[in-house]
Amino acid sequence: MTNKKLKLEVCSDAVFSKLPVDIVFDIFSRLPLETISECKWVSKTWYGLVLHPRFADIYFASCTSPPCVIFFDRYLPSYLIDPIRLRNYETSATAYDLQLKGFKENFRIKCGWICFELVGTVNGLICFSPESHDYESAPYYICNPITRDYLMPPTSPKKHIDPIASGFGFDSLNNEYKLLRILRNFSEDGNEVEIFNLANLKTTKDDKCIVILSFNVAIEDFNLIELPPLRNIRGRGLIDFEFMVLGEHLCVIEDASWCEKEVWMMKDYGVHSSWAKEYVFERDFLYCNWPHHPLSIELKNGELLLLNGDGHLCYFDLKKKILSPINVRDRKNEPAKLEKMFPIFLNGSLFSPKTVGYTHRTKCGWVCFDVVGTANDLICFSPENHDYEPAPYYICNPITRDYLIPPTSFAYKS
Amino acid sequence: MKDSFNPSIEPPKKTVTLVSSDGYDFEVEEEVALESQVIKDGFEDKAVDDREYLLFNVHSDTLELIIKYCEKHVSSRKSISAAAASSSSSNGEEALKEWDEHFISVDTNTLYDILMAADYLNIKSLLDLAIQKVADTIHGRSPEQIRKKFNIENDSIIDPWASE
Repeated sequence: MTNKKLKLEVCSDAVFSKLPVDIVFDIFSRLPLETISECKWVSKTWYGLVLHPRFADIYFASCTSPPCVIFFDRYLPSYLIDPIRLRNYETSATAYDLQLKGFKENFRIKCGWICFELVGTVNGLICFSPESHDYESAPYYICNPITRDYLMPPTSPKKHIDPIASGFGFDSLNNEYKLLRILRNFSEDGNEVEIFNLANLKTTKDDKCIVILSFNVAIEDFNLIELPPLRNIRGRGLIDFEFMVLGEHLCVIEDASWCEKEVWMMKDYGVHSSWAKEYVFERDFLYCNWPHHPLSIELKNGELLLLNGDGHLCYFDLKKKILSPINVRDRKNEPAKLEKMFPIFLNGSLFSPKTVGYTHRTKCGWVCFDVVGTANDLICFSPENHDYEPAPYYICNPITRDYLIPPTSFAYKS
Repeated sequence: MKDSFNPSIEPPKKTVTLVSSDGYDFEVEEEVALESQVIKDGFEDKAVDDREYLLFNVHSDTLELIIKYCEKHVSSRKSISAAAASSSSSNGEEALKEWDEHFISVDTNTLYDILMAADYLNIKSLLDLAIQKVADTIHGRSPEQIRKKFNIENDSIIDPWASE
């Protein structure tokens, strides 16, 4: 009797360490992300299992990367909307508090304000940069909002130079994440591009690319994608617009508040003549208080997850044009106040910024936030609005470093 | 362990012998044993008079449960298909689900043994059932409750979010 009892106790203590890893992963992959993310605090073994890169891969495959919406605020707590509810297209969801460790400390400037900008998201990771006029130049901050794992890449030796644009992308050929900063180089009549390779955590190469206006000086890297004939480019000069990916096509949405919004889709990637006006949204349809932020994300069933004109989180059926609002409540079951916060849409995952370079899977994600977006691992850059030298738009592949410079005629129109 | 179900089957039942790790013999019907993919795979290679399997990794207590599970599933599969053939309404699937639910409601150690045996014998439905049970047990529990439930020592790095 005593013998048997002893055996059981020993067995119980080691249940999880004895189970084959595949079974443990199978068990974990049946749990919602929130629960798994909590599970890593059970013990060292569990921590290792939950954060195992292979498990991130398995989970990513099994749960088809749930859509993830974050409502950010500089000073108040931020919220993460329950991704599993959204994945199941439920019309009510819980807003969990999201505290990112070291985030506020990193971006707090001397006067006490917290200043940061969103660079982009890819594979469930979000990249933030210090605000462009922050001369203290805090490091960038890359985190996974679900596991809350984070990484701050080392600062650039040229951190004092304000980047015109930053980009965050995933190189699916080499399994590497790359962070790009485009710096204005006044002395050489061109811009300089810094590329950080996160797998090696060092600056791999400084590229010089000349972005002069009218002629093509594609040196080696950036590709240029010509913009569709957006109304405000046609008539009023350059205005904000957003990029998004719909059904693996690059789309451009005008971000203008005075007229309806046209959604242009590039049906054939890289072919300018394939731009087509796909949808037209009414004037107040989308919530545009945060210029340059991605406005929506496509769900697996083809619906969009977006903020409507009043700032409420909704599902939107593109074909039937039906909006279904989502009732978001906080943990105390009170309606969450999300109106003033800025949203980030991304596909959730368990990938850790610390194990970057491991996974094989890639997802089209938003990359160059401040400026443009990404598709098929290409990053698209545009000059900033107040950039009075109308530089052409251009697109690059961070892997091959292919540049394409646009015909500038339309850019000149502004 | 002899099964008394299904008197309708005409030929005398073929049986195989399963030997547990602690040396007990279990005589079971062929089709019950064939629920295990491992036994099924090796079945063709064995001579007809040598239907004995030594299961070194399965204790007799667990093997008894596993056989119980397989017998139940074989018999209810038959009754479900019989009900379907006679087009009489049957809630056999529902009943089986309930039975499964009851079957797997065991303590952690037994669950662990079943899980390991189902993995070893490669019984897909049972493995699935046991894995789902563990997942359900974890679901909605805090790390502290999980530790208690599975008797895991707390050697964790401090949860930096718990304090905030």
